[in-house]
Amino acid sequence: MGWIEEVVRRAERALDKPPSFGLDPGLGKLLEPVEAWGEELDALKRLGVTARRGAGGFAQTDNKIVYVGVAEAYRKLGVIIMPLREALKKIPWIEKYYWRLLPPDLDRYTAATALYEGGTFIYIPPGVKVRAPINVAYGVGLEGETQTVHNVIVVGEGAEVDLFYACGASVHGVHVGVTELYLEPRAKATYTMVHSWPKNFYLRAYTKVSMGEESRLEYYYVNISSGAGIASKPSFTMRRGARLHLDTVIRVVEGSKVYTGARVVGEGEGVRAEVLSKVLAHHGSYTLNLVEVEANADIESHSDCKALLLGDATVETVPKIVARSPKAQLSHEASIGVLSEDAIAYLESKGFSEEEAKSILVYGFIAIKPKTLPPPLARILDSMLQALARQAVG
Amino acid sequence: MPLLKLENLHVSIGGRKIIDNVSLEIESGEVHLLMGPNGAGKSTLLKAIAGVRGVEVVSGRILFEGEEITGLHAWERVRRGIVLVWQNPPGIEGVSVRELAEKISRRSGVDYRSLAEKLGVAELLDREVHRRLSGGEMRRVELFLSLLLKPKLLLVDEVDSGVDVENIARLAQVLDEVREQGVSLLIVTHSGAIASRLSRVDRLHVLYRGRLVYSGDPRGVLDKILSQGYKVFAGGC
Ligand SMILES: Nc1ncnc2c1ncn2[C@@H]1O[C@H](COP(=O)(O)OP(=O)(O)O)[C@@H](O)[C@H]1O
Ligand SMILES: [Mg+2]
Repeated sequence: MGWIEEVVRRAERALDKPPSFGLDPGLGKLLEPVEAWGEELDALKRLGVTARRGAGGFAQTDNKIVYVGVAEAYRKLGVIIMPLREALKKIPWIEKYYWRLLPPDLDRYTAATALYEGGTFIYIPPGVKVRAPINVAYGVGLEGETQTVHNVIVVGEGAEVDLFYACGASVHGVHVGVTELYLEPRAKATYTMVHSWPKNFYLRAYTKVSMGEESRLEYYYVNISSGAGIASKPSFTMRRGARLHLDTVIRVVEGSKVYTGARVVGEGEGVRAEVLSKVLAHHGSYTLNLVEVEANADIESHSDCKALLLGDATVETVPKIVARSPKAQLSHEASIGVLSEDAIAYLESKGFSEEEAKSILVYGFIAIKPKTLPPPLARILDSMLQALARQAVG
Repeated sequence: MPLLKLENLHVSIGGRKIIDNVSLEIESGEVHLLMGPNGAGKSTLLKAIAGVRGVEVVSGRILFEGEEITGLHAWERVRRGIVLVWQNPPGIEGVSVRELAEKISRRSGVDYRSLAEKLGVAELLDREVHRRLSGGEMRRVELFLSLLLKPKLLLVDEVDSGVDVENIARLAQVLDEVREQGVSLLIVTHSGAIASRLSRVDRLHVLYRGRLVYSGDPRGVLDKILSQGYKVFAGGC
């Protein structure tokens, strides 16, 4: 039996398997992906996001693939952006990367994704440096849908790329996002993801990243509104000399239950990881933030988990650092606080209203200082953070 | 009409009485010094004038340009021209001096770059506001942000404490220039270090345990404070 058949067989048997982490909202309407060229969802356009710019892009609304494209210059260099289903038919070697980092039968959500997967395959050939962002957008606009997308991304040896993902919804439903990201040795990538979910929407994200020797990754995640609940804890396996900079911001809205964090495993010497996580917790919300760093070699890592409470909320921050190597240097900071009255008073005395003062402080708390993000992406990221800060106090 | 008039001001913080029946007037263009030992209530009085939250005026009135402002929010007083230079401004995490300066100057129209040059804070613009700055740097940044607001009355709280002699002379020069541009000044100093370097001081007030124990000509009294300390006021004047 071939690998693809085996994935299907394993998935079929796991459709009833509950998840081990986070809420289990159940599977709603599941739909086979179809190609139906058209417009991206308004919920995404409002974020100022479109797949139609940059070096290439992909957009899917519900199960409809509305756009896929690669700029001619990069197509000639061998860059591939393709609906995943199409890639499975046309590119035999995709099997090496397909459901290899995550098992399809992990739980009913990965299983449903394996069976109904939309999403895209992105391939950057070795040595190719993509100088404009690749934009991917997912939207849910169909009431009660469970959107299942699978992103398989391969950045070849020494290749460079900036990936931008935006997801949003306008209805009640679930988004399941499975991402397998492969950085081959010396590959360099930035990965920026922005999400915004309505009140009664659930996100279940499964992200695994394989980082080859001397590869570099900057990973930014901004969630403007957490909806009903999130389960998302990306995981990174880092080989010798790999560098990771991770910076995430989640605004946990009233009534929301968020299960998040990150897992970083350092497998080779000279690995360096920096994990920054910021949670903005509104009244009546719950957040579990699990940040785990494991050193199986002499690695250096620093993690910092901060939470700002904007009302009566529960935040559990659970740091875990495990060293299995004598010279591993691992540190972790964690803090939970509220907006400082003194700082509000100070900013008011510099001419700002109470609301402006709070929004400045929230913006400062969630600030992301991108390292090498191209300016257009840095600007989008910043405008998302500003919008988040305004919504947090508005 | 005085620029600022305090009438029988009683101020408390968290229910604790700190300022007791203070009255004073500042005319437009004047420079007043407010002195007194640590804990006398000097900062509290400035905060009450600026309308800082948490500082409650229990009774009495504050008038600015003839209008009562006692109940106005801090930012409304800023718009009228009352600006406080904080003694110990809190750090603002994740916000750079430049970001805050841009926001302020967008409103006031003051060019922050040239002012930053002038006050020697140009190289501090990308630092976080009042975090990991030395005492002198913090005071310069705070004066910079305050002057961006185009004050008519600048309430200056201890800009000279913990600052070396050379920098005090520089600060005094800046304050002199500000005054020459028509800004009135109420300058708090508990050490008096800046007093002798200002080219002009119109009046001196001494606050002792929340009460004004002296208001008048600075000459003589200033020397007495500098040589003998505040104990000369212990028995009241
Ligand atoms: N936030 C506060 N809460 C309670 N007491 C305060 C507060 N701020 C100042 N005080 C008290 O008020 C008194 C005057 O303080 P302050 O105005 O800072 O004096 P000064 O500036 O003259 O040194 C002191 O006894 C001080 O402890
Ligand atoms: Mg003081």
